[in-house]
Amino acid sequence: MRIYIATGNAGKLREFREMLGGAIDVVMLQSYEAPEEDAQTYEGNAAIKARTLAAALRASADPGAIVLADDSGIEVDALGGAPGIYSARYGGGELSWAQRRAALLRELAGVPRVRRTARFVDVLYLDRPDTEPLIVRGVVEGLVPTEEHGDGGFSYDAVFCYPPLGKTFADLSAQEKNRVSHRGVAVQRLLEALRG
Amino acid sequence: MNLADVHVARADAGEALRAARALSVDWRREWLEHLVEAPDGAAFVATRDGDVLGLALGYRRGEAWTLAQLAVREGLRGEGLGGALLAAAIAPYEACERTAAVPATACDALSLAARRAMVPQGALLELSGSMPGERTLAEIAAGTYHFTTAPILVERGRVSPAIGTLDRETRGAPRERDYPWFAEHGSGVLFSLAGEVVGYVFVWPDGTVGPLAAASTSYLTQMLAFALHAAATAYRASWIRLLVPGACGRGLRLLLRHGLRVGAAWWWCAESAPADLSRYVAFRPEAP
Repeated sequence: MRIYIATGNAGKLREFREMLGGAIDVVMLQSYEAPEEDAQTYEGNAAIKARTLAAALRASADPGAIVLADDSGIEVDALGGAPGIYSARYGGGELSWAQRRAALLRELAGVPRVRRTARFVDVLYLDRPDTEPLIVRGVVEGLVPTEEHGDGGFSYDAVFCYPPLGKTFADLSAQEKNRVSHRGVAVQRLLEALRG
Repeated sequence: MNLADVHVARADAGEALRAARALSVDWRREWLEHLVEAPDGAAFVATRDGDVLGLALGYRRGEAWTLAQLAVREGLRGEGLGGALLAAAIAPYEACERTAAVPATACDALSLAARRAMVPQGALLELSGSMPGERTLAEIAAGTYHFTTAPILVERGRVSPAIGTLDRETRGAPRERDYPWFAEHGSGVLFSLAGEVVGYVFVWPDGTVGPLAAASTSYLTQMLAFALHAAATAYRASWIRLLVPGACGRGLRLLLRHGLRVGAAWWWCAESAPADLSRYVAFRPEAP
């Protein structure tokens, strides 16, 4: 089975390959161009990405293309749930991930540790020809530390502490992170749904 | 009904309790005594030729005044007696922020409250049902955050000031006078993280849970599961009951997913919106 991933993010591709790998051939198009994500929910944005790529593939190279898209974000309670669906654009469109993380930590300056609760949310949208899409959601709760920690991961991983392990996602090995992360939980739910 | 024939007078706790019984209002005696006998609580009973026709009970905590009960005998409603009782109860506290929980389907009562500047600010749902399995609760309570817990103790008539802080953040006002009573009649638990208090809950011998307040919505589910587990183990409660604000989505989802059902609904009526009920569970039998 081949699944096209609607992303241009190498970090996400690596995680999907590690979690879905084996029986599933996970493919990312080098020419992938993200459509405008103007929905107000993770589900809506994931649907836009999956449907756009699926339509393009089915009209040309692969009429039976199966496309998986995800939309994820970090929700910080002390910021009223922000940045949420705007996580990838937080602080401004041109910032690097390091700059976005720094902006988040600046925004939380002075907020006590126990009030820095947050969650990572990931929604997967699997678009298949001639059948209803599969939509699953994974959530993991945690805390935003006062400074970055860890060398692994990507996006906000270095500023998301997973309390049961006392480490940020960037401190975890890929295997550890995939077991507990929002994306890992969502992929497990997707696989369960596919198995019926 | 001619209101001129009706006598509205302040009542002591005993008279208020007898009036409540006459009107088939289910009040816990100790709680009613606590409210009425305190300096900022007052009950008013309406009578005609010795017959009890109505009851109003309110109390002040800080700058907030709460209407805890307004009852008029069936068959006499809609004739102005409720308004007269409410006016008597409010009179000493005109300057306070007013609050009341009004049954969601009681349109006349909602109108009456609104005329006195208490307008619907959100729903309160009474949930009840069989206690979920202890093992399930223990697993949820263990969850992501590793809280330390301690009993809420009364020292020199006061409890931890963190409880008042949490109440101010959630329900909008602390209730210092009530905490020792809660701790004496129920069982209170403080939750801490990294040495800082991040939540509290009171659990009651009859299986009622609440009030509960958390520093973050993220903590709520674990604390609620802990409280239910405590009710099951400490009081052997097999049936539980909670008063959950509609804004407390996480609490509602947890409880409904584990088989509890909505048995009644109220409007939380006040002059202004409470601070943040998304991380609060109310104390029954009254509103936040």
